[in-house]
Amino acid sequence: MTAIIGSIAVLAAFISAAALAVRGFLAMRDPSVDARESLKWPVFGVVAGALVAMSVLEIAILMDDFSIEYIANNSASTTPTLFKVAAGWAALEGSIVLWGLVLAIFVYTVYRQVARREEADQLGAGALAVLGLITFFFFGLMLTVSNPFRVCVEIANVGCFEGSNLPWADSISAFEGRGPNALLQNHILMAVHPPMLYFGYVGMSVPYAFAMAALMLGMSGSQWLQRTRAWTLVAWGFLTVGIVLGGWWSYEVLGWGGYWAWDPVENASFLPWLIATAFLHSAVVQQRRGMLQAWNFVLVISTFSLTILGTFLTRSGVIVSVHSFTQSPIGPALLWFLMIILVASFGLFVARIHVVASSPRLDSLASREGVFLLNNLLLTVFAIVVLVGTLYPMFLEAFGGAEVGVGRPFFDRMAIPISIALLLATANGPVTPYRSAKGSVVWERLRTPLQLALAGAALGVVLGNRSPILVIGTVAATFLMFVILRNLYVAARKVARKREMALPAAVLHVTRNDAGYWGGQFSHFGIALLAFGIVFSANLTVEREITLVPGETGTVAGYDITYLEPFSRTEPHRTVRGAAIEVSRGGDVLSYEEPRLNTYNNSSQAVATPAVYESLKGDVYLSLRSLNPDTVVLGVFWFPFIWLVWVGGLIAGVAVLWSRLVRKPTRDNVPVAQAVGDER
Amino acid sequence: MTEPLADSGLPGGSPKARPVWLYYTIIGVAAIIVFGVFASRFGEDPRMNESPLIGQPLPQFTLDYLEQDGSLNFDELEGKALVINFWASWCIPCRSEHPALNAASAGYEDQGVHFIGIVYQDSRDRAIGFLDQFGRATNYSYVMDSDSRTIIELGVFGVPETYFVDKDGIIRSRYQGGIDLATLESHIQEALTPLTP
Amino acid sequence: MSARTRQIIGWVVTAGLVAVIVVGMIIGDTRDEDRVASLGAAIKCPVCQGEAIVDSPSETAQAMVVVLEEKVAEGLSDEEIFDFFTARYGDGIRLDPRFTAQTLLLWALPIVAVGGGVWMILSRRRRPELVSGETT
Repeated sequence: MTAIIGSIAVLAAFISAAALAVRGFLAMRDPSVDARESLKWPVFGVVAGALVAMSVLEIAILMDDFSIEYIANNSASTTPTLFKVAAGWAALEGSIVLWGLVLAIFVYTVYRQVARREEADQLGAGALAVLGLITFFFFGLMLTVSNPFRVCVEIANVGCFEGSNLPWADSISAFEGRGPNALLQNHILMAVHPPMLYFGYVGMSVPYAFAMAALMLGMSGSQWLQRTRAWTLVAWGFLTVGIVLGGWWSYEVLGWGGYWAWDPVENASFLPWLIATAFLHSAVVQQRRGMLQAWNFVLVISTFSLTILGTFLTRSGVIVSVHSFTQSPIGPALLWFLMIILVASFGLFVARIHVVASSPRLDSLASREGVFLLNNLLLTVFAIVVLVGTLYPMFLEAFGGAEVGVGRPFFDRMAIPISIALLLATANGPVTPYRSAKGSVVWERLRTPLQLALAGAALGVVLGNRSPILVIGTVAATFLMFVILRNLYVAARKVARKREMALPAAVLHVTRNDAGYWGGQFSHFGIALLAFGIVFSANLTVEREITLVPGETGTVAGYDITYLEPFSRTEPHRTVRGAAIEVSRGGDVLSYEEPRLNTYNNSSQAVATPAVYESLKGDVYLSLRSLNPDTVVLGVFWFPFIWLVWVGGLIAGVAVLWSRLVRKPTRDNVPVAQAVGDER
Repeated sequence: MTEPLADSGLPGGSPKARPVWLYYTIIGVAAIIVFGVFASRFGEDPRMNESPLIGQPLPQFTLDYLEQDGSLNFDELEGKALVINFWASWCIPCRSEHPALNAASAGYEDQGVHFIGIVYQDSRDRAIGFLDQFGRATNYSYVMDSDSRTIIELGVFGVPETYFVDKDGIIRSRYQGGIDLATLESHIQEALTPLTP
Repeated sequence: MSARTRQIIGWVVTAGLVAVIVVGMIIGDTRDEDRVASLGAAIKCPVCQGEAIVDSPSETAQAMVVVLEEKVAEGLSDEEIFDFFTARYGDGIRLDPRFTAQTLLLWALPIVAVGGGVWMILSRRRRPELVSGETT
């Protein structure tokens, strides 16, 4: 029953997506067609189908319907409710259902914008058509190679052995489900990180769709750019939050003490983020000066293509990664889709290249446009480095058979200078006027923040922190923070004087009046905090492995780690063995922690889960290396100020989302930047 | 004031002279290359690889017997071809390949092939229990790699893995994963074939 | 204080701070260098999914760290230690690719990208002969 309803929902969405594409293209080509009417039912069909499919899946999971293969193999009756809900997207087929749902939501919001317009909206109709094609593909996956509603026809001891794509086949219910992957039911972030990431990933389909429609219509100009700005910002915000949460989850769950390993799938999410960030900035240049039209097309096509590449790498099994889903026939389908997207999009772009021209040229490189171009250069080079590093071993092996390993040390080495250059460019941007800037003007604005940053670093150097990366990174990050604070202060002070307001009220007034601009500035501030946190936690980490008998205390970075006793308990879905640890400092007991080994039912391997004592000064991170009858071996880490990484990253994403909520509605949301430095 | 002709800044000059066909070719070729590289990896396990030790002499190591005192003496095995199989009680494919290994050890004894089973990251009791359950063979030395030194010496990636050494002590091939009898025999035949000087 | 004086003082203060920082960095870090940590971070754990041997709790990784510690104590050079592992596991066990003919593209592509990008940006500047007669 479940399978039949679910499959009907998927089929409905599939057919509606096809209708959306066909009718959308018709409306795009013929302005006399009323898009609002002709697209209403296809959109409704897509949204309804996606909602019903997700709901049916989740309800079936919560009700332990083990006649569905996916549920029998990825959930269990003993799984806690939160992780049952998360099981809806924890494995391959379910993750595609989530993708389809998020896509449907975006289709609906685009339709609402199109429907609200008085005149015929060929661009909007074309965009909906392209979105319809993308939706058609993903629901097509759900009907064929990635069917979440496959019924179980042969059961194993636990879970389902063999399934059938035909929802009316005679199904058997497995005795018990295998439960989610051991690593995916340890932490609440499992429920939050994927949806956030998907809103970011899938959201990038919208500017892509508008760009494709613009190309097909031969429209140059900034219409498509202006209309999609909202979606691009929202998608970027969610993507940022999703990536940061992924890093935090990794830190809390995997036990190696890190949050970013340049794992291929982490890179797969980072690549679209880099290009999307470049796109956000160069879009501003196009809207203010009319330049970089062709480049913006290249960026938006690349962003979308990178999201599909990322999906492909994660799900096809061609790369070894902590994150890989198991190999499945979805690989070839995604590869074909990626190829078609690349060839069709870039081909169309080349065909229309004479239309997408930019006449205005740069007056001078020493201008805000110049800084934006530098930003784009740095971000694009960063993306190329990450892309090449990730794919190089594969390509080398295919062409020569030789093996090469490209891992963290390589990426770290490349990322550091690029990131520092980016921080410095970000600080310079807002204080550099458009068109052409005078050095003395810019220096006057940068002088005090720079001196403050240098003073702080000099103090650190005197106190003994002399690692070059630590010093330069700190200077760059604090410089950026002070520049933003100074800008805010100067702008607020001007308003406070003019309107006789108190300074805090003036700050609120300034930021809310120009939320688009200040959302960006706060986002930059978040990035600076993130950079600060990375530099500190990477360079001032203390790590020691200690072996303790019950009652014994070891000291790491001034914290006393006392091994109280081993413990063991049985929970419905797992057996937990671990060490009870007391963390204290200077005689005061700070925390009771339980680094442990979780052994889930139906899994022979134990998964080590670290215990983390978090404080404002930093984290004491305990990783259980081995638990012996009489001793315990712990990896103890001290990460100073690591919370800056999560908080900074989240601010970067949330600030942008805030700016969308707070903004004063203007027609098509053209940014009205009253930035410091614009006066000249 | 005259604005220059609409010019996107991409290489190739003015619109009329711009070689659009060149861009199409680049797109097409790039797509084919990318498709080919990715598609060639379908169905392969990215963790399997060729051992760099092939063609090298087998390193010397000392391994304690699993069930007796003392350690395996490689001098006694000189002149014999070796099949070295890494296994563990917790390894599922090891169970399915066990009968094939036992059968081959009996079948090839008279051709001068000796089998060594090395226990990988397991407890002595559980390993012995595995052999109790799935059977022991003669012409088979059961040893333990307690400190994981041997697996590092041979570059072992996981279990099960099987190495084939010829009568001159040169490593001839390595098989990763559970092995079946036919593959086992073909590797043994190859190890018994002398290398052309 | 005139604007000019302020500017000069600003430059002097900045230069002074930079000097302190640079001298401090040259004098060097007060912490010891940990060869095992830095080498271990560049060797992959063969039974994990991309982790370095110093980051992985697996038995194989820990055994390799022990071997690494012995090699460092013996005084072998970085390359000799890497060669020990690549001779057994293949080049893929390294996380930091060497600069060889095979990895040439890996290092060259980013440089080409930077060069290409800079050229494209410079080519976007307004050509001098079109500026005459215009008001900016």
